[in-house]
Amino acid sequence: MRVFRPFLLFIAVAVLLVGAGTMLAVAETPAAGLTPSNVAEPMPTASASAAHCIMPTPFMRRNHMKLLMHDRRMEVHDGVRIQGHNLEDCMTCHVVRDAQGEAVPITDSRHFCNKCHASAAVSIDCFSCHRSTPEPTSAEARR
Amino acid sequence: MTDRRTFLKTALAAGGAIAIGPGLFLVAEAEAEARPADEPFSAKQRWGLLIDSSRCRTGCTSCVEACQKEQGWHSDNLGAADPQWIRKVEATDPRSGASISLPVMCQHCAHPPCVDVCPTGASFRRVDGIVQVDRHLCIGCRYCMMACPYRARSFVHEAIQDQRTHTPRGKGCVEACNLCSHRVDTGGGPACAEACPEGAMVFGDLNDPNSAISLALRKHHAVQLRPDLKLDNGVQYLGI
Repeated sequence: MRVFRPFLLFIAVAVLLVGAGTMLAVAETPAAGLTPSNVAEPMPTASASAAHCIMPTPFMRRNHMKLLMHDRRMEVHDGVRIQGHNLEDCMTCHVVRDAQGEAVPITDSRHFCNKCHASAAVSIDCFSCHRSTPEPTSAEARR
Repeated sequence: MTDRRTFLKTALAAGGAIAIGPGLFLVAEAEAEARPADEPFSAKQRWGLLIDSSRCRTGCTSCVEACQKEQGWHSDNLGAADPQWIRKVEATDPRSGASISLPVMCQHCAHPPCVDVCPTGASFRRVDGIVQVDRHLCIGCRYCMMACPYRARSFVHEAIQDQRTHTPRGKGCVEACNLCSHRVDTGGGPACAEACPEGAMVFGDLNDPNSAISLALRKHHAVQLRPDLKLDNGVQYLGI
């Protein structure tokens, strides 16, 4: 005659749970050598013309996308333009120039945005419409 | 019911008129100044364009060229699929043989069909009357192109590089005349009106009774294209 033993059932469930937990823990532990602290932090060149950005660098690293998202709504629909809070100003300050003095576009790995976005594997769609370099002045265009 | 803001505005306006007597001119002049960049659009203005087709020369494309240069668009040799913010239309009456020439672009309707049909809110009307596309929201469905009775909108079929900074434009979005909003917002007018060698285009504030466009509209009988649709166009024509 089979007797129902709650104690054995409890043991079985506990073993299952511990096993699943261990598997999850193994899956979540990054392989040695690939932890974020071991990856060189990208250091995009800061603007040469301004002492600092509109906000401190650590804030901009985390939140620039939120500022851009908020400001694009404000600018396009409501007409509120704040100096320094638009992509044109970002591109003017953070321009990267090659040896010939030409501003490098987003298709170039040296472009300011690519410094982090390539490393973070986050693709951006801003520049399918927006210009990724400052517009050449009339003097530059004649050259 | 009058809300507090409307009541205050009315009270202030009445107070101002009493205090300065015939000083309505002062108020009007103050409003005509360029809007500060960090303030929102004002519904006090309604931007419009008056085009005198009797002075528009057949074959002249100065306005189209000025628009291309200002907004950075050009033909991609795609025929009917080319970008087109403004075009010249030549029309001849078959009975009399009389012909007219006129530029046609977005008519900046007060009740725009393109805004009605847009499923994402990308096609919108600014409170100052300019109808334009927010490319951040445009999904390229082209409903607005079908809804527009003036065929004013076009679709970008090719990837674009070297856009003008003030006119972001890219593949997969619909675009049209925005009355050079970047110039209007800094106190200027559209490039086409400035470039017209005959001075046949007048830009201004339809709500300001003393603006050049309002004075001209009071003097001449202007018509809207397809007035039967009752869209209340911001762009109006003389001599058609």
